[in-house]
Amino acid sequence: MPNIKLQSSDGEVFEVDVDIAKCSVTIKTMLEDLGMDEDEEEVVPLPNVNSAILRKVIQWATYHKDDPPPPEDDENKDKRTDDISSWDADFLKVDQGTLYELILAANYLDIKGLLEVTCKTVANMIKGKTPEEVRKTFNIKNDFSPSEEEQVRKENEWCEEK
Amino acid sequence: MGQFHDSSTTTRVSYDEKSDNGLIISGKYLPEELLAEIFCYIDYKSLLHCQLVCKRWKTLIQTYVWRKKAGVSFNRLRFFNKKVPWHVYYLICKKKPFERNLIKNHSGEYGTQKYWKILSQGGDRWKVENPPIGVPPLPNNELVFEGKQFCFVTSYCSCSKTQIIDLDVEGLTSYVLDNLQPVIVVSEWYSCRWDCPAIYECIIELLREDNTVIDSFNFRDNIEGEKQNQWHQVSHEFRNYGPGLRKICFYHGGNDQLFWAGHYGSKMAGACVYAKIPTCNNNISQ
Repeated sequence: MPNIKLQSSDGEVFEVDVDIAKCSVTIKTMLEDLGMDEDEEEVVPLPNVNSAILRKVIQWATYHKDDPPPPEDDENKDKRTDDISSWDADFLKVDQGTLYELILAANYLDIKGLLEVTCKTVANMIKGKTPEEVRKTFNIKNDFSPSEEEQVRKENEWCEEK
Repeated sequence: MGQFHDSSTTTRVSYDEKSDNGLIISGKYLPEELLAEIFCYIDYKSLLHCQLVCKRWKTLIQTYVWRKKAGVSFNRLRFFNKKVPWHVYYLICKKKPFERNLIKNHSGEYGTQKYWKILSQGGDRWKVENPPIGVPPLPNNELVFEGKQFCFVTSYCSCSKTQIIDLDVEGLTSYVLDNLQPVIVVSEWYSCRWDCPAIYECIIELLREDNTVIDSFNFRDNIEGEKQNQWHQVSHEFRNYGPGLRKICFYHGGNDQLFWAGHYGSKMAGACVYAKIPTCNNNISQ
């Protein structure tokens, strides 16, 4: 299997199987656009991903390298969040900071499967919580004035009336 | 800051357009598009709570996430309309009340009585035919029939029945009906045999809670000569019917014109009542 080299924002170089690297659409496109040859000793710079996160991303992609490609258009089914595999759940037992960095990296690298599972994990942290509990979980400030908050509450009640 | 000593435990701050509050999640900056991606995985009830977390979340959810979620539920791009207020998309996510047939057992698949109240069944009574006899098949490109060939048939004396739709139960709340006035579209297919003329009639009434009539559509057709032996569609749209709509009563019936024993009367199928997705108008509050 040919390898390519990926360089993280802090300068660390990772040697990765090309097929694994190509689960990132961004890298795949880069390789195609730049006409980078697989035997060349070129290094792909990834200035938006640090080494700790890149290591995690490669770990995820390696485990999932034989997955079928995600469906192109899954817009017609309701989005579930209770279908995270146990491997992914273990993999994502990380602090919140790492989780968000993984979301950003999955988005930048365009890895649909990783983006999905990380977003679902955050969604599960929000589900079923009161607004106050959500604010506490994510350290967000309440910037509504009391009257504005009341207005939103009222609008919600209209919706909930049945 | 005396007015802020309410029950909440996190401190309240005043809104600052330039602040990153709501985008900094546990110390990490997430752009709005990724936050929206996360919200799309959240059930509608929790999403209502999220609107109360902070202003940026509220704006993002109300201007984008509901619409996106509703589009997901519908899988039809034409519902992506910026003019539709967020409540409507919320309802779409929750009960999917628009653009679907609110009439149950519309063609007799479940028999003559199920979901219908029989008012009269003269002659040889109501009957269901599958497929329709003495007429061409139902147009199979019409979605309302769901690919099936059931129809109701009347007899030689008047047969009639009604179905009342409770709009609130279907997810069309009084707020949506009164403020957004979704267009109500009603329709049905009718026909009669090639060898016997018949009469078809339908009356659709928009009702208030106390069953008084707001508006109604009356239709009656003597199906004779060339009109026999083919399917016709009657349809009507109710618009700007004003506040108070809570129920819809769908009545149909008929009989044959030659007084023949058996089921030579008018046939009907695909009774349909649906509410169109409302677009914004001037009635909406704020």
